[in-house]
Amino acid sequence: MEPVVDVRGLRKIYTLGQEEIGALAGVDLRIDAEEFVAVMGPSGSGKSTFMQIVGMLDSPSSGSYHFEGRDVSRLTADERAAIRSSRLGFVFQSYNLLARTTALENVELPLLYATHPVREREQIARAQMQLLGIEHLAKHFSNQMSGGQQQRVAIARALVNGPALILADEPTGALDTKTSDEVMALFGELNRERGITILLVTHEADIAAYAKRIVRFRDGLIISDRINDQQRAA
Amino acid sequence: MIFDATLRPAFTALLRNKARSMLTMLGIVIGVAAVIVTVAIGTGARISVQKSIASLGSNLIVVQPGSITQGGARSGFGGASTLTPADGLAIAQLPGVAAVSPVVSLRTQVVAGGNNWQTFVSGVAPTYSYIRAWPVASGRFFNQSDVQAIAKVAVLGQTVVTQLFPGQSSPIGASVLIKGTPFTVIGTLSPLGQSAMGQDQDDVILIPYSSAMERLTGLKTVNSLMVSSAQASQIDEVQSAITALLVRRHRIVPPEPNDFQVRNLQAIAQAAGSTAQVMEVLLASVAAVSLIVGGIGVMNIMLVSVTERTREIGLRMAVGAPGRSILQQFLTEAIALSSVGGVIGVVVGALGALLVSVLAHWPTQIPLPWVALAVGFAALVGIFFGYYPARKAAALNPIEALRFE
Repeated sequence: MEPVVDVRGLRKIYTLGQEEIGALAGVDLRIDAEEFVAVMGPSGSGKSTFMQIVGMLDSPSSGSYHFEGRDVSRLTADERAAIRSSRLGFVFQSYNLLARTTALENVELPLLYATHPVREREQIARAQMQLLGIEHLAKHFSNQMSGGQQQRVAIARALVNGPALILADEPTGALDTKTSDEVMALFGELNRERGITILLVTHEADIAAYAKRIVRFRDGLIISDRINDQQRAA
Repeated sequence: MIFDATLRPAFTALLRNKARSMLTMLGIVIGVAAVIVTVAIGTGARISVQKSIASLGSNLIVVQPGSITQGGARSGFGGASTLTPADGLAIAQLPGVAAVSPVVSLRTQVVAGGNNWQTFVSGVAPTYSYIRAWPVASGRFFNQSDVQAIAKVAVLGQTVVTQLFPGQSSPIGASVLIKGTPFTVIGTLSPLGQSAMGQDQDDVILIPYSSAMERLTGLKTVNSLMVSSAQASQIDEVQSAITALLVRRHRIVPPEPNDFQVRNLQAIAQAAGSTAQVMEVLLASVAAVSLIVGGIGVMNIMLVSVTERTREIGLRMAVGAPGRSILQQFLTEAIALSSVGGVIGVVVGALGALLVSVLAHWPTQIPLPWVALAVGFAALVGIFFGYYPARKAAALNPIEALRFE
């Protein structure tokens, strides 16, 4: 089976004025379907840049990136947007739900850009919320929900288009310990029971501990890549 | 789908910020309302000028004697005395002619009882009342048998009635001496008021043209022929038909000049109307400037909105919105703001025009093409001033947009 993500010699160089900053200095990584990978590293290690490139929000300076077997390293912004809308799901630290919009409408949002008819959209979004046990929040606005509830809505939004990969960028960064554990347990469950491939970015070891595999970054390079034999499951 | 991904978010966004949307629209509302009110007043004025000219008679054509040259001296218009009632009868046979009346006019002193008065006496045909759209107020107009009988009957204008019969309830049946000949009053005319040239049109006595020629002037010719064409659209054709007919009847051989001239009042009405229209367009353009100022307000708010919603734009892009979808969303918002503002502006403008006509008694009329033009222009303003902020939104980098605080 094709790996979901296969990067070789990935480099990313930013130019800030005269200075060139190497964010990624040659990364090779392969993520297969149904994997749950945590990317760890201190600030400036390149883990966020890595996630942005894997999430097709950005393109690499050099190196190759094959997503589900297709070379995506040289696509235009709109071509990347099309893949994001159908094959990728994002979960952010700050939830990024639309203000003054209901949970259901937030979950529907990715379907809007994937050309689903209105009726179908609502059905799919409701079904996804039901799977996560949050259908009772459907008519709630963002400011009427707790952090944990908002993050669950955001996870439903990431899952709604049936993506090949979920990218979670510090998904518990704004949550207390108890809620963090609940959200991480949900990720573990999605991976185990629904076989969803997850790429998690975090700098906290006890959050990374929920993943099956932990990859450590430092100075734009992978310094360790190991199977997590003490995977937490809540 | 495009409809769904742009129109709905656009309207939701506008409804979320109701107060701001309303204030932004206000600029457009005022601009469009100003255009509508000025155009309504301008059009109303133009139509009332045309109406007062049209009150001279419906689709009126006037045939007057032309100039003749005698011994090298040219007499000027009216110098030729060549028009006859027979010419009028011939013109009446032309297609498209509704009615013809000869006019024999003279200014003379008239006497009734102890009062006398200098006035215009016009010898006309019974059709004159129809041609001038000038009905009797009391009694009756003279008819064809009065003309044939060269009857001594007269219909008086309201000014003559008040001057000759002050304080009397009705002059009908009374006698008026015109140049020594007694005429019996058989009717009075409804008041017309002043003409477009400021003349008192009610200072007149109408008598049968046959009586005027036979008993007053003693001439075989008339001063003019008034012709009414059946339809306003045919007026030019009728005019040339009359010209051709009279050239034949008067045996005029080119290059001899015509001994008559044919004019229509529509041309005069159009000239007056076009002056009013120039004013109207001028005023409307000034009003349109305020519409552009309103458009700048739309651009300003859209720029604020794009900055404010940077994270939203970043998120929409992250979940797969292509740049053009973001551009459409914000452009739609701008167009919606300005066209809804335009529609409200039309309503406000219409109310304003109504107020002007009720309070100031100015005639106003809102022409539909201008309504469409004003709303269309407002939408165009939205596209023009909304494009820059929308393009700015679409060009955002999703990573930076998501990070924006």
